[in-house]
Amino acid sequence: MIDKMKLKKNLRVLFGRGVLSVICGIYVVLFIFIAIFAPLLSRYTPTEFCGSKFLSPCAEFLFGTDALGRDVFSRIMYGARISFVASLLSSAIGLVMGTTLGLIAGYFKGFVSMVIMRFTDAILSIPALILSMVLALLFKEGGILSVGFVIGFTLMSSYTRVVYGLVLGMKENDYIVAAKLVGQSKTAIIFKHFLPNCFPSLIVMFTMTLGNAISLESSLSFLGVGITPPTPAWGSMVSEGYKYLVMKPSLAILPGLFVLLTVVAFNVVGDGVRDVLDPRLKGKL
Amino acid sequence: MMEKLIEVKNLKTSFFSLGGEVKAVNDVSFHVNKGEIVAIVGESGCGKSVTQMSVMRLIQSPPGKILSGEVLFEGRDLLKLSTKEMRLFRGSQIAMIFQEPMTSLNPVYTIGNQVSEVIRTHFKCSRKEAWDIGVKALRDVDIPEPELRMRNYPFEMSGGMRQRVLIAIAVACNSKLIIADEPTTALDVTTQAQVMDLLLNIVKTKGKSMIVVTHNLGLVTRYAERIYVMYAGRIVESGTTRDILLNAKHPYTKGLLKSVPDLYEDKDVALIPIKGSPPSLANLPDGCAFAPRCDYKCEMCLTGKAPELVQVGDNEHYSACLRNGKEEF
Amino acid sequence: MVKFIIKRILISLVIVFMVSVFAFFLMHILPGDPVRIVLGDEASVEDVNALREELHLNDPLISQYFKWISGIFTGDYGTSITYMRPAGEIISERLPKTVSIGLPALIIASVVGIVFGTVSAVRRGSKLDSALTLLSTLSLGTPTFWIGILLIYVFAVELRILPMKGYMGPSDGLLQYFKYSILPVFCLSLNMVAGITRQTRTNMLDVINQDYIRTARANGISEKKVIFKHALKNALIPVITQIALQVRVVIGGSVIVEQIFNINGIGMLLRESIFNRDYMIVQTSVFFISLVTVFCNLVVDILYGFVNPQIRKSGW
Repeated sequence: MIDKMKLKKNLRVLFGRGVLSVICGIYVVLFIFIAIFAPLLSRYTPTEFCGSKFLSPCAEFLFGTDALGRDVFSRIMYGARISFVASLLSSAIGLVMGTTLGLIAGYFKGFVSMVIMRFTDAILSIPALILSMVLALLFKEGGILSVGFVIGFTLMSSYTRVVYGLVLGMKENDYIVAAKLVGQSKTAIIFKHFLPNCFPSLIVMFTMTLGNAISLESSLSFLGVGITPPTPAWGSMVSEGYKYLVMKPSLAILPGLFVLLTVVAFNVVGDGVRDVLDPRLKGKL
Repeated sequence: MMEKLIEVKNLKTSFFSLGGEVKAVNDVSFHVNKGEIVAIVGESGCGKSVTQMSVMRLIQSPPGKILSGEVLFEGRDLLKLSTKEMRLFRGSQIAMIFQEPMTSLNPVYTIGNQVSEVIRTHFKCSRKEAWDIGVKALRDVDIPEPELRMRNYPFEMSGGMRQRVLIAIAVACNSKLIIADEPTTALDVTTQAQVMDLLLNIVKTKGKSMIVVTHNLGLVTRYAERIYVMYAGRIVESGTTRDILLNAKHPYTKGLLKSVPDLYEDKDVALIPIKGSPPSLANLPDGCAFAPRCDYKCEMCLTGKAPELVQVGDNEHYSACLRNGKEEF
Repeated sequence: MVKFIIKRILISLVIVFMVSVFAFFLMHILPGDPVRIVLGDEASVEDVNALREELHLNDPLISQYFKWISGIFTGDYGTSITYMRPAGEIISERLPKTVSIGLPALIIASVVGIVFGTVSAVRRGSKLDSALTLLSTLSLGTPTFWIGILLIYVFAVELRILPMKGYMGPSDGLLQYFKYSILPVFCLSLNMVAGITRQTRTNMLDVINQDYIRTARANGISEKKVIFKHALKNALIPVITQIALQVRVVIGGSVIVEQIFNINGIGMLLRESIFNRDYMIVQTSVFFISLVTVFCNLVVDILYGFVNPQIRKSGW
């Protein structure tokens, strides 16, 4: 009964936030669907030269063709796939690495904690884009794995900070003191008490970094250090299209518009998840 | 006939949220005579604080809204005043003291800054004069070394001291009515008694009136002259303290009395808590709101409208229960 | 207070040290030989080796690190491999351009963001609030490279009222400077405006619900004073911290903005140098960028100490 009421309230918080949230929710579902089923949905492969150059939109080429005669519509659908996988992968990497560091720093006092937290501060003081540009050069080829790692490493530090803060807060709690008093081992305390209590915040952070990661990935690809062409990442499509801005502006504008929509949609959904799961994080992320 | 200082008539305040309308104050009427101390008693969430915030017109809107009613202060309807007139009423005519002294003062300004700011809002005077009035007010509420204390920040003072500062503001501005919302709940027991004595002393010596809002029926019986008992946004019983204590009519009031320790001399009487919990104000049951928790309910209690207040004795003793006087229980 | 300041300074020093180590070793483990990149594939092994020797690239990494770090203290920032000139010289040539775009962007973003956020919070639930919130949600997700290209298309290609790309500084005349920098400044500030607006709004709403605001209102303090004296001071403390953090957003963003508008500033220099493995330029720039960020944080922390009486009065 109470749970049902709570569920109802949560659903209201989630969907009662206005038209924007509903639209963004639908967009995210659609985006994921397209990302997964891109090969089935698109008529051409993204690297296939299938028509004349710079065709205007028509029934066959919904968004026209690009400078090499590739179908822009298919490329954008495959681009969704790249963005989705890259953001999922990098957020996951950031989550795992950041949480681990945060737990260690939070649990151990003194030198270890100092080194980890100051390292985190150091990473955070370097602009994210510049850090990931340098990191990207560690890899010869800009594939989805390397980009995932690069962005994941960049996102890691914000996870470390949040988890560290949470653990410090929890340490004061009576049940942690009690667990120590009854002689539970360190690992038991970390895995049984600290980690589960971080879950709500971590889920929130994860959804909120997804949008962030998509934006970073597209910026990297735009600068030519992300996904290597001809793989169709939205950022590199914008950068290629920029050359033909005067002639055919849609080549640059269109993929960028999808970056905008996707990042906004993920951010709005992330806000919704936060308000349901962990409203305390409001303003902190 | 005593002169009424403030009279609230049929006040209705609701909050509108995604979950629907929350009727926090539902047709509440009460009055306070000049020089009188009146208590409003009820469990948390019964609307007693919202009633006072409505009187002060401090309800956040949205989501809250005062739907109807009158608040007559010396004959003037506060709800009809302009925003500015009402603002100047607050602090000067009616002072309000809140439950949380620890957070009720702005952490980034000194006591003196905050006290003299209020004084300068209500009196035309220089900074220096306001400061001196402030020092005097602090002295009036027994704060030691008031000159030094004026330069302190709130975090440098204890909860009891901060509550005294808030009382000092009321003293300095010569308020006719003090509304004290759980003024001592957040303090420790010894400080509670001191602060309460101070308040009573000020009310009595300066001829003020006071409304004490509290959940603790036992506490108020010592000094309140009349008591209003609130439940689920309505007043369910009102009368002199003596009538409420010795001759309660409403089952809820009786329940409250049984759950308060040390009221009866017979120490063997066990404390009996009221079973269940108050209904959600967003989702009030039909009939009497207390019926689901009431031991004496009958079919009639569960349907129709909520029972009206009916006079059940002399001295303005009212109760809102279908069984009032009809049948003993 | 003194103790607090000393502690903050020590922490900042540790962070800067960590950045220097991290930046140095990261650059040096990157695959690819900078000398090869500069001299080209046809260069002989002897030439490559001679240049490596000249630039001390054959020394052990540790000694290279100490040479670089001690150079920073003495004003010798090493030699850029790409330009074969002192790195410090190149950086100081490029810096004014980035500052002339970045500083206005930061100032505009702070002012506009605080105003929008405050208005939004004070009028919460109104149409204005909804509009501002929607606007900041959209702006926060807008990729800088996209809005830049869109604006160039609209104002330079279609309307032809602004130049497409290039740079004119304040010394080239204010009108020229304004014409050339308005779009880059706007692009750079967009995300920041959104971020600061959101942060200010959240903090203001949080503060407005505090008990002391209720007390002020209950004491008849005017709404103007409640907002500007009692609420804003408390709400702005965390916002100032965020503004200090925006310094690195400005620098990150200028890499993209300079790329789009073809401005020869630090952002573009960094991008080139990262590609060319120009160690000295990248290390030194990253070091100074994080020095600025850490310094801003330090100043804000100390200011915060002054604003927050609890810290200020904590003895020495």
